[in-house]
Amino acid sequence: LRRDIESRIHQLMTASTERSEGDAGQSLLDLVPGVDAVISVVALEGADAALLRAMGVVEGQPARVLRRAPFGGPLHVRVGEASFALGRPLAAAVMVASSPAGAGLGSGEATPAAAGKVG
Amino acid sequence: VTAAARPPVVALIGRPNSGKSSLFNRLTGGSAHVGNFPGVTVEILEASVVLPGGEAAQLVDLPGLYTLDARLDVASDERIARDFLARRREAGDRVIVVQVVDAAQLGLGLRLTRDLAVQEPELPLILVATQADALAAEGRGLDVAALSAALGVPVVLTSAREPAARGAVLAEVERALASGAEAPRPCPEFSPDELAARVTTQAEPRLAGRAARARTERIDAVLLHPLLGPLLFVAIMGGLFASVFLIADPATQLCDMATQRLGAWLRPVLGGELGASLVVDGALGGVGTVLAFLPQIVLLVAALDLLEASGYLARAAFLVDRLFRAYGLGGKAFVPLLTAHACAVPAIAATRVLREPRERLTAMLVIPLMTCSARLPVYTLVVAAFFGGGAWRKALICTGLYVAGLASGLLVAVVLRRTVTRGRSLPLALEMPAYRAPMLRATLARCRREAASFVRQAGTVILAASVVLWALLSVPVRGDATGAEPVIERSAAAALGRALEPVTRPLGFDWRLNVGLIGSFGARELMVGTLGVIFGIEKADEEPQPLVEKIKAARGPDGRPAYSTATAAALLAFFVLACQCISTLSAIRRETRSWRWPAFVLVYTYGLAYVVAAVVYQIVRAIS
Repeated sequence: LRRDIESRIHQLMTASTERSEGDAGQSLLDLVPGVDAVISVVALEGADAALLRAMGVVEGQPARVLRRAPFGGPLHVRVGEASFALGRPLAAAVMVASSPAGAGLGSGEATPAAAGKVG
Repeated sequence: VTAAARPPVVALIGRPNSGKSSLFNRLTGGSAHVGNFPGVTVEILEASVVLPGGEAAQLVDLPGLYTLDARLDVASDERIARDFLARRREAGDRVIVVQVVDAAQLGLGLRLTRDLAVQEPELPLILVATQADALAAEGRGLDVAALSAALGVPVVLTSAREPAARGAVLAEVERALASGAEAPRPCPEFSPDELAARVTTQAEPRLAGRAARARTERIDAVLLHPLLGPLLFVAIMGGLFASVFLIADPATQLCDMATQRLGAWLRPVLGGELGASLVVDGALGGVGTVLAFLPQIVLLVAALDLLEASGYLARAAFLVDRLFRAYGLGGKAFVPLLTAHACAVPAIAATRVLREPRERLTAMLVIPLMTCSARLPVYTLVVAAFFGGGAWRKALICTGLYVAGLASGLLVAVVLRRTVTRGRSLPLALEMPAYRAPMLRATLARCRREAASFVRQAGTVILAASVVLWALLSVPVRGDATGAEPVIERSAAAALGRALEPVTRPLGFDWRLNVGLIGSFGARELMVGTLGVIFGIEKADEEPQPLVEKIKAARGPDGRPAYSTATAAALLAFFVLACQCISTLSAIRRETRSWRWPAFVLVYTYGLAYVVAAVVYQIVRAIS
């Protein structure tokens, strides 16, 4: 029995390590505070998705976790030009990729349809 | 008045913290009032402004919002703004939207612009980019012409701190109105972030955007520090309340004294005994009691406004979110619950920031338990009469009563979230604005508004209630049996109070306190005035002495002191818990659109107050 539990723990630990190392599966919740990243997907639906989108938490925005409130409290996150307090369930749904070199302020959301018609 | 003859509606729209309220204040000179719009149940500020050419316009400050998305809840600020615009247009009013954007966060503001262009393509729009000073301080600039060309609407770059902002914005409004059907409408075909990057010029790219951000991050490192942050939070809140009462106390005493002087001067002038009593004891007494804590309300409003405008309230919500979640509320509920310590009525309206309807309902249901400033005159009176001692002791008891109110509110929230308002909690999603020096003008304007609305209430509801109360107390309903019975003993209120004595005996209340409770049913602050009338008339022939002395000296039918420490403790417990406030109940009705929830609040708070007061009375009596 003991060996069984140990192997399970090992499994879980390696799984979580793999998850935090793999770019595609990493969320804001997994992101180490102070590390720059770019939002890849916001995996939410309905009103939550609409609100985050309107607030400016959208794909393509540079993101960085500034701090986490203790005891499972919210995350303080900088996204683009603004900073937000995001509850953990929301932060867990905001997937990020590691920041490409040179990405920072001003790298924006791409809307091909609009790009040509501006002005 | 036909729609065409009505002044045009200029609606200010913007993200929360975009500087919209500051600009509104600049445009109106602080002369705004709460508008009366048919079908709109929430408070929307409006003001009449005169455009440069002499035409009048109705300037409206819509709630801060991120989107006009229809998917959001009907009670949300987004929907309120959307419905407001739709109604004005249905009524045939000319409507112009002035969108306020923070020039230092242009990309975010343009997101809402695109939303407006898509959702409300027919609405003429003017874009006002504020915080020009902050932008300049960061070594950045804005290419106004390029932005205007890309959006197809006029753009004004200004700062609400600049007096010239008023003329510049109003001139643009006038120009748009003059062009009638040709008024500028935004083109929805742009990418917010790309456009923002293209029109923002960076004189010194190395520093761009860093100065203000670095400052905010430095402050956050202290205020949101894992250990220091919570300690500073408690210190800031404690300091806030302590200073409010420290400053308000002398002002309150001054108000009290002025009312008493006026009464003493009026009584002989008015002559006739009953008439003079009506004016002095009824009307002046009631309204005077209420006006006496106007200083506290104004100071609390000012302190809250300064905290909000500086950006700290969002940090406070971040800090307490985890704690509040244990009680089934989110960190955002902190702001309404804090506001409730000034007055429950604006706090009920402030629950609109809570997106999940059941969470919002829970907050509304427990807000009446917070220690609003109307409880303070009662606490002060009871503590002075029974617990005596120095200022320290008084402060300690009052702090205890504040904690008792908050603790009972949070405990009730836990119970409600497991029963009546069971349901999911939405995770926190809150913008943390950059720290800013508050604009004192805006704070003063808000204080003036709140004070005016409070005085208006004191002048109507409470005046009427005081007069009714006076009639109940001072007009005899039965003949004088012995020829020496005071009028008060023969009043309708006394009869009612006596009838209630069997019910309130477990709490140690006699008929006089019962009359006080009846008197304070509509507004708890009337307790002091009612007791004043009871004890004042009762001993009218004696040398007038302060109410405190009279209550101490009061005797029961058996000649022993009528009230003990146990009675006082029970009375305090009752006032901590009972929702003795018609205004709060009507605010809950307005927000929930049903009589069910105000009735629920009334029943549960009075039930709780009765039970807890009885327990407190029995325990304290057993101990002492």
